[in-house]
Amino acid sequence: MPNQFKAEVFQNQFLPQGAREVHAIMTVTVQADDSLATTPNNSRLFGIICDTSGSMGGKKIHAARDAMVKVVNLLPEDAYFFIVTGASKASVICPVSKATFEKKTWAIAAIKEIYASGGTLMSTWLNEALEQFKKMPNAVRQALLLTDGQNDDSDESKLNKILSSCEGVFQCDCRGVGTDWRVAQLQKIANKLLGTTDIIPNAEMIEVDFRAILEKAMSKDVSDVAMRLWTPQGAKILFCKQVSPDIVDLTHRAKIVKTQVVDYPTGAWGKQESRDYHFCIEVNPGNVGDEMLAGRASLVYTNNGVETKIVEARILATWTDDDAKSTKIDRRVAHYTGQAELAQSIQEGLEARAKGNIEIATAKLGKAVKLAHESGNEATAKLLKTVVDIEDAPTGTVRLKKAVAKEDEMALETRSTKTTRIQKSQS
Amino acid sequence: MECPNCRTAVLVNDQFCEECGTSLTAVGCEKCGAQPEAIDNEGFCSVCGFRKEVLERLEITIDSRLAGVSDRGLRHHRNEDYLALQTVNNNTHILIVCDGVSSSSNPHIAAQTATESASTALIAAIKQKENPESAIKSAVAAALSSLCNIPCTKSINDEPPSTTIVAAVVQQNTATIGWLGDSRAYWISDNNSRQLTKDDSWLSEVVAAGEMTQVQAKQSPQANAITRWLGADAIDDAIPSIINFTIPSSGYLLLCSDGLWNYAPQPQQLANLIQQTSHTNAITICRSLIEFARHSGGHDNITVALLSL
Repeated sequence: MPNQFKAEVFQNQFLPQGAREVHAIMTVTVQADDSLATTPNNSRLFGIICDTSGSMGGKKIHAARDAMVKVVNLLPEDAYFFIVTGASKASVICPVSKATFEKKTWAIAAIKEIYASGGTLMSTWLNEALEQFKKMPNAVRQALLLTDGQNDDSDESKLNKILSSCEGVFQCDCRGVGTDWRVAQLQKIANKLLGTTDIIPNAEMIEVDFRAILEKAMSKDVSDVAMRLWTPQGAKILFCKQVSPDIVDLTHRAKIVKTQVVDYPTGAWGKQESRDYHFCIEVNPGNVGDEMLAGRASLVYTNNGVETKIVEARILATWTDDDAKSTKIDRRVAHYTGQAELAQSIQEGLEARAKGNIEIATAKLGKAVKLAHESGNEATAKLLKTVVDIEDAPTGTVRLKKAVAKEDEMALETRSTKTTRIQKSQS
Repeated sequence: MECPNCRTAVLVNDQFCEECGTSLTAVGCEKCGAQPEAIDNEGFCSVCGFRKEVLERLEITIDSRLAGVSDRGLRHHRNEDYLALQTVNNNTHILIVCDGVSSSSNPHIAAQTATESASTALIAAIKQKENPESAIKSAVAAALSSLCNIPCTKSINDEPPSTTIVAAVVQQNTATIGWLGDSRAYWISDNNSRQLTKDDSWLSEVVAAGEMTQVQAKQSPQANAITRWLGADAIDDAIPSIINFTIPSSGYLLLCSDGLWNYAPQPQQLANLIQQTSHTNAITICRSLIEFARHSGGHDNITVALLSL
């Protein structure tokens, strides 16, 4: 292991008599160990999946080409890459290659030949990418998918099927350029493939975004990490969510390892990375004075079929009749409960707004403004300002804006799950 | 040996306790009946998650005159009190009671560590013929330094391991008592019982300053807050208060944690309790005082050390 993983659990372990719900926030941090060589011991495979359907024509395809050329040039020489372009069907314009000078030159020449035409059948693109990723099963496998439009409705069931095949084989960040794509559609792909979704409002911004994605991808050096959770017999996991840097509900991604043990996928981890998880476990209540191990959470990674436990932390429960102890809510648990509520308020507010239900939209988005203000989530507060006029942030008094740019609404929708961490000044 | 459940005396080879029927063979989890292998190193059951209940009770009997008991009580999940007793050179008696501060990290370790190192230092000092007052002061200093050496993860939220301490040295007809915090020493005799220590607590300070009456102060959420303690965060205020008490007659020197005195704060109440036991054996009296506190609610850990004089 080139890096040191550290796990900490934050919770109020004290529960009142009869209580069953145990909440805990687990912070996992990777600290780069400088004493070891900087070369990662895993090879990295980066795939570019680019939409070349007819709608990409003109400015967008030019910008996409330029951005891809830049990304190829930026690839470290020890990394591997491939490029798939897709419309009604997909083409591998550059199969898996090591990023040597010759291969890069060759790939750049191929990129320059790309032109836009045809429909959008994303299942075919992912299928080709999957074939490429299968060639290097032990590499850190990540992809970037760029599109500007909506997937053809006829492709729905094929897409679902191929997504299930891709799950666990590679990770994929999705980017939508312009405003003609559907947030929910890209989020479905990105969530299943443990990636992020974002909007690139203008074609000129593709390059900056691609560079950031590549940089992040190249920093990953441990692949296929699972969050393994042991719970006591009779316990029920009410939810398991990644809550920082953004909210990803992993609850339904649980894979049963054996009795009382499940795995949640967390993908690849890079240097200096830090994520927070929120667990909520329902246990059989104990008597006052009883102490229980309500959960044991660990990160496990698999390489060549060998499982290695990286780090472990315990979630406890102690029943007490001391109200002063049991009524306290851990401030991290409270903070992330608020952040989840913030994301939900935005989603519901935007939905109500789209349906023309002004009253509900105002109430929900007002609540979001209040929550963003209270938790110091400035990025989300700023996005909310594009959709509502804020009269008073602390009370959440807002008015819906009459005219909202489509790109602003989509940006708010895609980024509403971005959370802020608890502020240092409070600690 | 005794039954872990009801403490009735049992024989080594007994399979079950004759009194309450508890199985005496190696038991795994008492909650779900899992095998002993299911219990992890920290006592948690890997099937149901419950921690095997540890019956934390410490009994020390030096002789019929000097004894002590520390009991978990009924409400706390572990015992964070500790005690030490010793008779040195046949004529000097040492009694120490510590009560770990429950808001600090690892209070149970704090209490045990402080008690043990204070006791070792006190015995050594007495053997060196140091006078009791300076012996107590150096013992408290030794206890503080070992508290500071308890390995603990430093975090902003955690207070370092901390404890109260009350220590007594009895030589001829003088009892020298040093303390920090609200663990107390009492003199108990037929007509002359009194509290020897003054609590380092918010309550006793506001009452002494005349700012509030005892009754008013007790209503405050700070009523149980202590103002002095032994711990790495109180190094600058770690010199114990000292009292030299001339033993007037026959009676008992009683040291205890608040787990006892909360239920009988007045010296006369304690005197009555001891009188009611109609025993003179120190350990028997201690056990009955513990029983009294448990029957009164047993809300805190209870520790009692008693010297009959």
